[in-house]
Amino acid sequence: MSTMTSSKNSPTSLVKKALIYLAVALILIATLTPLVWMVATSIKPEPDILVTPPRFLFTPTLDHYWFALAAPEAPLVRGLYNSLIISLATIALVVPISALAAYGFARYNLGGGHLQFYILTVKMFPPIAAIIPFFVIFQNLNLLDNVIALIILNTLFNLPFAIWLLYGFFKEIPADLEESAMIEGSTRFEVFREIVLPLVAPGLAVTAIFSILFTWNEFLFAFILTRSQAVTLTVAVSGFWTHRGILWGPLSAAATVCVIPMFIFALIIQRYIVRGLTFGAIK
Amino acid sequence: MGKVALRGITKRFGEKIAVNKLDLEVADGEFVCLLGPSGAGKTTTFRIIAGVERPDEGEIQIDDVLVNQLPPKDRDIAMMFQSYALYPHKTVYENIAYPLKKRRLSDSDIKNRVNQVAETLGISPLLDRLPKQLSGGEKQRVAMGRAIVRQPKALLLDEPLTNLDAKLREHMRGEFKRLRRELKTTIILATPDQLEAISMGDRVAVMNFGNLLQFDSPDVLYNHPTNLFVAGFIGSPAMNLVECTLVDRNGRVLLNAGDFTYDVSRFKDQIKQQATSSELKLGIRPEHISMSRSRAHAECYEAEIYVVEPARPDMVVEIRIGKILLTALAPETFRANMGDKVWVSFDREKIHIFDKKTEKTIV
Amino acid sequence: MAVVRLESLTKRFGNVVAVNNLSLEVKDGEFVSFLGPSGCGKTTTLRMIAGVERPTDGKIYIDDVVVNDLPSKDRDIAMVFQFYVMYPAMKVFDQIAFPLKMRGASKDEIKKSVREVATILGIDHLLNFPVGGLTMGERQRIELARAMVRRPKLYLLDEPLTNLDAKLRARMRGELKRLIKTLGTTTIYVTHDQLEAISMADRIAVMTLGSLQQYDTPENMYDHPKNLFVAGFIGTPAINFVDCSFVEKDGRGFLDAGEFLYDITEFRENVAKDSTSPELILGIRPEHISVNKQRTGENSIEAQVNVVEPTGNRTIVRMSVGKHPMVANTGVLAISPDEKVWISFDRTKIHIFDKKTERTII
Repeated sequence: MSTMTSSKNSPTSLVKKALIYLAVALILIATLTPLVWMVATSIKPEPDILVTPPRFLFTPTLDHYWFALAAPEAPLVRGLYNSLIISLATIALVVPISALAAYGFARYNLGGGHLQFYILTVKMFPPIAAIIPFFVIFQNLNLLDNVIALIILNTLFNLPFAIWLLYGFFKEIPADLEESAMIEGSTRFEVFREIVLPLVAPGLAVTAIFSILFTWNEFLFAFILTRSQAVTLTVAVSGFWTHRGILWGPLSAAATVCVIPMFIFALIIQRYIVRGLTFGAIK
Repeated sequence: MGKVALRGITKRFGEKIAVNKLDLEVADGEFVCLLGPSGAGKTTTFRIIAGVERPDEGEIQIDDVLVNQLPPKDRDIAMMFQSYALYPHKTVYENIAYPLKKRRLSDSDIKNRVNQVAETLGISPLLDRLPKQLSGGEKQRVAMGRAIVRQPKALLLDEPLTNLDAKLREHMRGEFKRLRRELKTTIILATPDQLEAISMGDRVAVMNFGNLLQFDSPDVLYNHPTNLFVAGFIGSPAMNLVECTLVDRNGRVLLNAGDFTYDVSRFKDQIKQQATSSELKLGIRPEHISMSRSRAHAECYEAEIYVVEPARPDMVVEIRIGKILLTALAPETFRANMGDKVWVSFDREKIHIFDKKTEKTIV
Repeated sequence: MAVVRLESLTKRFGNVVAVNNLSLEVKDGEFVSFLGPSGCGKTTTLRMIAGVERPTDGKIYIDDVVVNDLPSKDRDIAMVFQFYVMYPAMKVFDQIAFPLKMRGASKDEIKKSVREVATILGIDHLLNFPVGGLTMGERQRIELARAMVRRPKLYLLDEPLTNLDAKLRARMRGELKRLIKTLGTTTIYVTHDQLEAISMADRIAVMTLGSLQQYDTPENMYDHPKNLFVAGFIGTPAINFVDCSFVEKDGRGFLDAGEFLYDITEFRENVAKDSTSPELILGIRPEHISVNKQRTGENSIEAQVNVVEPTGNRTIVRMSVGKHPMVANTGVLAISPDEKVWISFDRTKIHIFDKKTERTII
């Protein structure tokens, strides 16, 4: 209310600003250095890679990329293909299921809050502890080395977060809107489809985005449950840990290939994430 | 065709009784106002009529058909929420058209009806806008449009004027009455504002704490309230209510208010019959108190002017008889200063006497 | 003891002139209201008097001392707002004592002052309770107590009753007026509610778009508004305005409103002298229109009833005289919509305005 505020150029606020910039810079450096190193390594000629002190000036080469693409131990193309299939199938399952579940929790308070908590704890569960049981299950179902197994598992482990996220969004929709639509002649499902879903669209987008990111980067289950047919990109990249030693060059190249699609994807949808996340939080 | 009847409707939320054995019958085409402070049970009653809330007990009948089991969409009722409940992602046109789409009307029929309604409400230029681009008054009219476009059997309006500013509210009161004559539907309107209720309704149902206290025409409610709450709630400035005790003195029956006594011998029989104790309350409306500079007759009391509020066109004068504060309405030309002494008297025909314990009207 | 004088007070926010060359004086002990629609500059003016806003131009005097450069805390004023900021757990006593504590008053002084003020406002029984559970009416009185406890020489109130419901507001108007008049301290009260202003204030300053329209007693504002805006803003239901032209026929003067002719021969000279053109506006307040079932005289006008709103001891009748809407505020009346009635105006309460300049002629 008062218009008497401290001058914008006072010494204390300059120092504050400088500290903030410094902190941000440090975080950026810490985050980006590995990525930059990886890309650099992928185009460094072989002899320059493991040299100490690290060499920053070199003549770039695409040798590693050609090698990586052709290498039989690391089927990159197949990995890319499988990763895409699994990711897309996962969001095709996660989004509808989590939407319906979250809506049920938000409107009908199913399970009185306990069921919700139970589902959330699945996310807290260390996946590695479940590896052996899952292996045995899928072996019995004859689904080893099959993308279906991975689709199922990824869906399972992404649902808790998705449900939790969408619950918040659904809670924000005033009950009045739905009741009004029902009085006007809609069934509950029509209300869900025509009124509620469009309003939580940002939430659905965020759910899809997070699910894809988690699924694309998933390594543990893919590594254990696939052999040759259903290898994902992450597993393919790991193929460069050979008995001959770690092939850093091709490994970096493969890893870069793995990162690039997600990088482009994130660039495109980044503003939807912010909008989606804050939409639910701020009234 | 829009008779609405509620019989013995009760609704509880845990320990709390929101609506208590409500019996209400609204005739076809009638404009009824549900009046009561917040928490009185008005919105809950609406939700029960509309079908989004199930009563714990009782029957709802629309046109003599029991509808307890019918879902909202089959009851042919339209409800306008206090929050307006406009669909934020649909344009004004789409919002108003929604009920018609659900009834599977043809596109051209829908267009005609929506345009007609928009014109009646004066919102035709807004049809392409989104709710967030509208002002409060405009949103209210769009919500109205959506409710009336279906020509339902009955229209439920939940505090439609509450969120508007004072000038707009006054204007819309008149508009509502005008609109109502064009619509000819049964209308039930909920409001906490007594002025709204008595100026608009054919009959008003006064509710408090889930109970229906009196259901009558505004005239009857104003002049013949059947209990203390209705008497004190209806009318502004509010009716003066003075606590007193019944005394017998020299063969006359008096109400002793401490600082003055009032002769009620003429009501002796009624009081003896109906009073449960000698604790009573005397009620007199501000406009039925007259003031003059001199003592006009024996039943005048000396009072001091406490404060004068020239709330034109009324002159509100608060006077003090001893420790008792009364509000009176004086004519436009009245002039006085704080502390002046005046003589006041009550209109004999307009006295009300209430039993303090049962809160029922005796006279 | 506080006389407040504003001299050519102006406040600009960028290109917007919020307060435009405002000059007025508030006498010692006077209760003045700044009244106007939102955005008219009333709150900005109040804030400049309080010292939280600096004037762009002009001077503010408190007791003949220019206070433009004096910080708020040295002006010996107390300000009461519409939103009561109170820590829910704080006791009422501490709430009221706060300003005195800030000034470093002694414990005994604080105790005495707080008790005094609480007694005047009728909240002394609440002193040991936390603020949290109290009603709006009680909170409002605590807020007033806090303002009063320092016994400042000037009270500035910014729409303090806005957040109360209608019934409570109506009750508080009388109480607040009585309290302020009893205290006798100079008070400036900002509101957009004309009923509040005319019920309570000694004088009202009506403003719109930063400019002062009229500064007068409520009675004069109501009965003798200086221009169209004041006439239309004060009074509810609002005054009826009818566009008409001044014509002279057979030595008599009339207002020609199309549907009817209204004889104003006795005002003819004033009208001819003060009007800038024959285009005038007739103004008549709803309570000065009488509604009858039969024609009552030469100046009776036929009208069609559209809406009847019974309001308890009165009735608001909305009618049309041809295409002119008219609103009357009569006593209890038994009429129904679509009836034809005859209305007449109280001749002593007619207003005539010049349509172009918007100034009052009669």
